[in-house]
Amino acid sequence: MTWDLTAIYIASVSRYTLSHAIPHLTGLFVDPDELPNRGPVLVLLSSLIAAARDSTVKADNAEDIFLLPFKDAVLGVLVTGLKAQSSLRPAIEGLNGMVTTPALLDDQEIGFVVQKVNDVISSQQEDLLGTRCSFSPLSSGFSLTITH
Amino acid sequence: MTLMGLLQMISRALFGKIWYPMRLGGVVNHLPRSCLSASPLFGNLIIPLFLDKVNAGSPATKVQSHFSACDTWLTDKQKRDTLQTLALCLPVYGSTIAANSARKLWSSLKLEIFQPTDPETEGEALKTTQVVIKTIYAEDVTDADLGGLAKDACAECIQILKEPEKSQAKPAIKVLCAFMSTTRQ
Repeated sequence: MTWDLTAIYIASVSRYTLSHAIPHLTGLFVDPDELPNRGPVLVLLSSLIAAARDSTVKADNAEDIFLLPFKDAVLGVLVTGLKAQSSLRPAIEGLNGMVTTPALLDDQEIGFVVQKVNDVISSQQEDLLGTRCSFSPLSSGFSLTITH
Repeated sequence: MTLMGLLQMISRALFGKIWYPMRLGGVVNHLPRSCLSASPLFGNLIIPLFLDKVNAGSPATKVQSHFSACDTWLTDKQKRDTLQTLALCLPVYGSTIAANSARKLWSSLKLEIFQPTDPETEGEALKTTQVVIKTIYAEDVTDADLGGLAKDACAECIQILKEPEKSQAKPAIKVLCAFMSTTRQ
């Protein structure tokens, strides 16, 4: 019981961290002056998404899903990141983190993510030939979520 | 024997010239660690010793030293032991003592994270940072009145993230991820 309460109090730290870090990183991503740094920005963002996913205490209450308030903004920059070769891989990793976060995305949003990733794979077949293998483990997360 | 005498004896055993071989470390270190984490009353006395030990082998001081490779390895091992012991003791010492030492703790831990001597020590410093945060914020705090170390360290890391392409951005995001992971059960 004591530990449960501690987890709730500490959740304030997690929420505080995300509420400052996510807007900062999404803001950097859309800043025209930071265009060359979109890849590094998404690398940092995908790390944070994974940490947020792994630290979700329970997905029963909306407020326990720390990424929920930033879902649309984060999805927006990750999908945009799919369009450039330099930010493609971290964008995929970030999307993987989003779809594997319990109760974060609804079926329609997961479908949207899969469609966008599929579009990238279809349109860049030749460019992606070298990185096809690295897609496979990431895609497995998508597949598991969809079949579920 | 006075309390101070007992503490001096324990700290000499753990931090002084006596260094236990690694093969015995797990067994031998267990006892001093149990002693050091026996009472919150030890906190104010022992935290400065911990910090001295961690700072002794920090990259900043190492530049001035002429350690052999073996000495360096021992120092790093001792530093990791110290970080592990600190992580074990802090929850016992409690949030008030941890909060009072927060600035100094963060300064020492930050050095190990942003200028790591090796990945293992960096990992221990991140784990200890999580323990510091968990200990300080173990009591009721709302989103609105969150302050102190979490707020300051978060602001510091976000300042560094203004240059996401720089090498320091990586440790900065590790710290923020460690803050996120404080809720993990």
